[in-house]
Amino acid sequence: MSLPVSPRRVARTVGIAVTVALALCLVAPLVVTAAGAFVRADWYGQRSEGAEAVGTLGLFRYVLGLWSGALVTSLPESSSASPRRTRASRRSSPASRAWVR
Amino acid sequence: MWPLVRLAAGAFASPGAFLQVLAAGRYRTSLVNSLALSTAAAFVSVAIAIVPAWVFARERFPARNLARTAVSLPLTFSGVLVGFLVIVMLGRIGAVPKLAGFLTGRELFAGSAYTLAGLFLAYLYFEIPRAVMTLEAAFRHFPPELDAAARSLGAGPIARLLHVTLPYAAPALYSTLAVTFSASMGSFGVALVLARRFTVAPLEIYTELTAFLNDAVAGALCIALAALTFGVDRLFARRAA
Repeated sequence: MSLPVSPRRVARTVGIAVTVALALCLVAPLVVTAAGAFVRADWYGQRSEGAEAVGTLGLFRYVLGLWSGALVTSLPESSSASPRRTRASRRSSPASRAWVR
Repeated sequence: MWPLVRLAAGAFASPGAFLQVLAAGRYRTSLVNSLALSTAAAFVSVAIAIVPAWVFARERFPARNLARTAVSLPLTFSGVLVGFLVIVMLGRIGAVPKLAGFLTGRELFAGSAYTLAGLFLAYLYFEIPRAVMTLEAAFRHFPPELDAAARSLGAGPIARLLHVTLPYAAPALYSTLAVTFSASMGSFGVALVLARRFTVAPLEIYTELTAFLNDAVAGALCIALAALTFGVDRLFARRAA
């Protein structure tokens, strides 16, 4: 007597399901974290008053204004070409001033 | 070898450094914690990785490349980023406790990111992709004729798994255990972010170097950590051979 579904087919389906579930589990933290930069939700951490006031675009502008130099320096190819920014110059960037204001 | 020689010279210049590291106390505790955590992370990540690695190596299905990219994505993350992700999910006001609170009324797992279980999950987060990718490469070379021959001789799926697939894959499994164990032993960024109530060896080395400028103890800890890692790796390599 043969089974209506072959064991090979069942094993394949279960294996694919396990693999997709693992992929979702590994991506979920990244999705939640990335969503936190765009979504205004009380459950996602305790946002600072500045972030609430400035909004998502301002938040990214602030981060890039403050840390773009460090981000560029993190790229191995461009590390030698990128000028290092001092703390004072970071603070005086337009985005930082907008943030403080 | 020059940095290693310098490190060893610094550690051996102060004879008490090794005694301090090996005596009961926070240094030895950190080494034991690292050893236990890394061993557990290696075994669990390899166990979890077997099925996805086999599927990626042998099966074709829609969105296979997307799933493979998603699984390998954490390999590109730094340890600090992995620690941050775990805090976002399992911190005191993390996504999982909030979801549990929404579903059950109780915020389960709140703050568990800072426990040993949280650090263990963080280790798994970056060790599972490493194990999947390593095992997938090994499974690609598994000859399907062996499985077909066993099937034609009447062996069922369990018998084929136990007597054909696993023995053939054993060297790859031991090699993957060695790779994941070594990576876990040296993991620093994750522990720096998450380890609040306990310590691991890389954190102690960092503290000795930066806070106390104690080169001798830091060097002795480095050598003890390297010796432990090398010893366990040799055990796995011997089993693989």
